[in-house]
Amino acid sequence: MINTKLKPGISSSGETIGTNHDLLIEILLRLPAKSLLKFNSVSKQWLSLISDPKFRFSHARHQRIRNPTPNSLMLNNYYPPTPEFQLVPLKHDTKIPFLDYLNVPRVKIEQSCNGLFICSSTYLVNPKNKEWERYITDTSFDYFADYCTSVVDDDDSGYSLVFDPLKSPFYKVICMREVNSEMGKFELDVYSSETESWGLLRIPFRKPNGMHLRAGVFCNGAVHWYSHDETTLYFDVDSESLKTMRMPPVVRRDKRVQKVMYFGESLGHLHMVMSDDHSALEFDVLEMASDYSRWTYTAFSVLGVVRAMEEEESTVVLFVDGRAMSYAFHSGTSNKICDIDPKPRFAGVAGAALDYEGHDAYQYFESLVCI
Amino acid sequence: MASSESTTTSTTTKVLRLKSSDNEIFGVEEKAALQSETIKSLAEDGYSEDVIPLFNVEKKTLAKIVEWLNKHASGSSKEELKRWDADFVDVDKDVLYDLLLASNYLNIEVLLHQLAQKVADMIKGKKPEEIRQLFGIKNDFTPEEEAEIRRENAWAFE
Repeated sequence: MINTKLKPGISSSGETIGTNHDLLIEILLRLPAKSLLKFNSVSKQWLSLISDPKFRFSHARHQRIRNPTPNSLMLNNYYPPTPEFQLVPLKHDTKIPFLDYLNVPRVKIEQSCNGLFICSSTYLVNPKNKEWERYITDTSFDYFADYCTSVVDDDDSGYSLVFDPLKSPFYKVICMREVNSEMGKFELDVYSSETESWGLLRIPFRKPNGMHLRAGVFCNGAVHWYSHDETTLYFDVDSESLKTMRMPPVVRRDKRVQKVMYFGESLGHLHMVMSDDHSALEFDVLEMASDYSRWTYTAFSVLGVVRAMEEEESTVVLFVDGRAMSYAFHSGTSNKICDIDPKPRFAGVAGAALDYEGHDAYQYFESLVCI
Repeated sequence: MASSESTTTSTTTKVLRLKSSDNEIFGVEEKAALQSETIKSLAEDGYSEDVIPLFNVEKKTLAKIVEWLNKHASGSSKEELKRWDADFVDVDKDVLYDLLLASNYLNIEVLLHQLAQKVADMIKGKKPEEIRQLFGIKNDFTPEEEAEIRRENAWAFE
């Protein structure tokens, strides 16, 4: 080891690390994106290292493995002249810059997928590092411009973003639209950022009733859409094929059909929330099995409402995933009350529910009253 | 610490002798020592009957590394190891730097990742000037260049 006289407070080891490419990468991979943007200005070496697309992809992979759930939810804001979004932070330290660098008056988010967004039909954006592009090249521009016009004006077209940093640094955009010449007939195409071109697959398909083409959800290598039929479609990206999956059995209560309130992905699971009425607080949360064999109701039910003397302190007691939780609806806070043993499964009762529901829970008061 | 000359033992477990850059010898059971890819390849190259020289690691650092190797070969439970590791990396920055360099040189991947995480946690909220101070890095930007880079990422500084 070389012994050199150094400025006080800095060890030679510190200097070795600060300029050792491999060790720096090991450290920087573990830093949040925000710290990295700050550290761009440390030195030219740090800047070039942090700007390297290869490093950025490794970082995205690393962070995705360590933090597989989103940092926040971004809410579309349709009216202000500058693109500004409200955030629902799901973790501490979430902040994103405005998308004003796009230089368009109003930005509407239309899709998001693992850190990338499709905004206002043509912009692909990574808000974190302010990178964006119109995901089109000269050769495909005319086709795409044409495409976008139809997308903007027509509900029967839509595109979905496919980006999985665990698999590839490249993204794809899946586009669906009605074939101009034939009513009711649709086709699907794929844009790849790797080849910077459209596949022009023109896969034809019949659209199930109520299938909302703009609400595609990427999950485990496929894009999924919901419909109001018994089945709906998903597109397997690797095999470039459209497949069919079941919708949950429609529950009819008081002649009202359940509506889809939410359709999305989390931690590699496809979720759907259905309700009798969009304003009702009564809803079912469903999760699709990874082999597409069935939808299951997730362990979530209301055990009771506990009204407090002060209305603000009232709570709902929920059964969630083996735990009882209290949810204070005025403050919006929830707390775990206790763990709950699973409901015993009785022999011979097929498919007996394993979750406690409202009709399983009864109020108890301590009492010495004689009977 | 396991600094000794008695590297031949009566038991069946083989002990490797590791020599620090300042000539201290540590006896380490083979199973523990081979968690280091560098020691593994040196042992395969025929150093195993003799002393394995580790020219880049001083005795105070090697002592810590040997402690880690032994603990991670001891069959402790996952939870126990997690607690122990958290204490192990909870050291001064200079010790941390030395351990990081040693784990890199000795190619002990698990330890390297733990230490890199610790350094990352340490510097995460710091300012660029503090980073330069911590690693003795010279600012080679012109004031204009630095201002420009900072302006682009202004929101990250809030």
